[in-house]
Amino acid sequence: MAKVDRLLNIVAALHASSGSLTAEELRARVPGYEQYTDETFRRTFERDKDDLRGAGVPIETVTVEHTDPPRLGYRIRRDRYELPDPGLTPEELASLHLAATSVRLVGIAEDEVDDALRKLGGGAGPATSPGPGSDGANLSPLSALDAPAALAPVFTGVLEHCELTFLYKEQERHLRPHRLQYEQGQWYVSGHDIDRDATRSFRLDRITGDVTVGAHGSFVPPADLPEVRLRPWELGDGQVITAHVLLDATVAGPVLAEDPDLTVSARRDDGSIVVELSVRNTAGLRSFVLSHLERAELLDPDELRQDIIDWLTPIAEGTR
Amino acid sequence: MSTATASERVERILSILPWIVEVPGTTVTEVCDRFGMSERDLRADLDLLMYEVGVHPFTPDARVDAYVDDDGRIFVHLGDYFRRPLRLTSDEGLVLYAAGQALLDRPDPDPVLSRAVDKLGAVLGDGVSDAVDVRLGDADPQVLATVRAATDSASVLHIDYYSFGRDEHTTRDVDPLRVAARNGHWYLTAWCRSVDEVREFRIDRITAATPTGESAAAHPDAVLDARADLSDGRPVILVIPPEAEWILEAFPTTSVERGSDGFLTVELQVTADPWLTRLLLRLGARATATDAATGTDLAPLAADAAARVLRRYS
Repeated sequence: MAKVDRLLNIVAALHASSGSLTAEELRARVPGYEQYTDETFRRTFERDKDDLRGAGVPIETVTVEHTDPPRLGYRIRRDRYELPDPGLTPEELASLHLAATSVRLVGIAEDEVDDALRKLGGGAGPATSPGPGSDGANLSPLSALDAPAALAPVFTGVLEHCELTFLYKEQERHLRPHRLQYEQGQWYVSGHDIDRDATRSFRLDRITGDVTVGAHGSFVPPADLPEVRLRPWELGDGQVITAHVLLDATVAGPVLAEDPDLTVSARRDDGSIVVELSVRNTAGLRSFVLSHLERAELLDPDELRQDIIDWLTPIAEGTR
Repeated sequence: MSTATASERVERILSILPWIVEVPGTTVTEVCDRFGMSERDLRADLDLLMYEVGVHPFTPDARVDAYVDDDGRIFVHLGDYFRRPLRLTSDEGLVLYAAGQALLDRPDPDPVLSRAVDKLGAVLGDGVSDAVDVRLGDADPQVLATVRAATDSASVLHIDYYSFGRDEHTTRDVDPLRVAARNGHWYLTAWCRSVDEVREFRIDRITAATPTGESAAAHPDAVLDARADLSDGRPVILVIPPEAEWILEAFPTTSVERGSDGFLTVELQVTADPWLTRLLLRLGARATATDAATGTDLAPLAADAAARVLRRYS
């Protein structure tokens, strides 16, 4: 397969060169190109570059210094090409392999796991089924998470501190991504929204089209990373109102199990609890309270209590 | 792997070559085992390197020198241009790192995996340590640990369960079959001894779990993926105002139509009335519901519930 050696030779030539090389310089240095006419060379070289980038080789396009008119050159920077040695023991590598077998990302080809392990030194062998008592049932993954198209570029942006540009609800947004979270079955990215000059979170599956990833290291993330806000009563930009909700014993347990960080301001002898909520979104609060039917009661403030009464009264009367 | 594209083959060669260089005298068998390749593919890759790859002017000293001796031992000498493997792509880093983080989100994380994820994070970028979080689901850590242990050891569990859909508390003995996370929640799939069928329990709604000390029976023919059987539900037609459009994302619907007034007509399958009641209270007085089969107006269901809730506020 003559093409494979040509591709490897392009990599070798770019590595061996101290600066960048133009297409013509590569043409002279890489065996296999000499048989082509100018036009065929141009097309073949474009495809070769794409194939190499597809293989993960970071070929950068630069303007060659002291050229007028400016000419394009190509280079590979060692620090963008080489994987530093992570120093993983075989046992640690095997634990990563097993993790990737137990938790799958749906939407990303499964052979990415093999590609990654090869680069890290291979040797993990086939992952074994977790835990004793496997009767075959445990062979299915522990979890399969949807991986929306935006996930990989956002991951890069968070890791390498790159600004991201994307369409969200039909608006172009510019974000310095600080944190990526999978919570309640969804991926979220939060960070500094440049246009709004404020912290914002975005659901990755609602990002449409491509995500543009800016230059590496273009910002320094804050020491306190933002938390994504998922509680329905916290979504939005309204003024914060403190509310107290009484939850009967029967629903208190499940509510706390689902959201262990809730502030419990009182525990009563009958097992019921009072939770204190910082409310920015009254519709979200109403929805939370009503989802527990008569087992939950909004205690204060009065205006939110009244909101519940006004909401329920026409339903109870059956008037529309 | 003979069907690999040129690009895939280049990626493979660039990944394994540095390892072979670092371990002079490694064998064909060892490399094939380690990297999951066929001997034919490996030998083809080495042949190609030996004869075709180097740098201008391609004098012997500027070529990759690779050979396999009669005992299958491999020796490669090369310029320093292929000394390290390629960095991981985003997808490659993501599949390992996210999976590792997901498994570490528990009170007793595996120390080996924890070290592995830290080391991986260090080569992926500067900003990793707290910047990527994966929570497969929320549940009481004690309950989750008990359920996991019982599943691993195949022990019968006695559970108190709150069924949100039916709005009722029940207790039952189950033979645990599988613990898995889906859509942000942990689920226990188990053979329920009360109904003699496979049931799925959301672990954050298991309020107490105790092993009975009995060994669980084997259920080799149990179908684990049986969700709540929708066929015993009834089709309900909702007409909802535009601001309630969120329910399209939240629940599976069988049909959706948008009217000229902006209201949506939505059909969904409902297995438990308490669930529907709650939904109707959240949708408010502007929404209507009818039983699709009988045409019965379901407003009384919501009206009764609203009256019950209102009693707490009077």
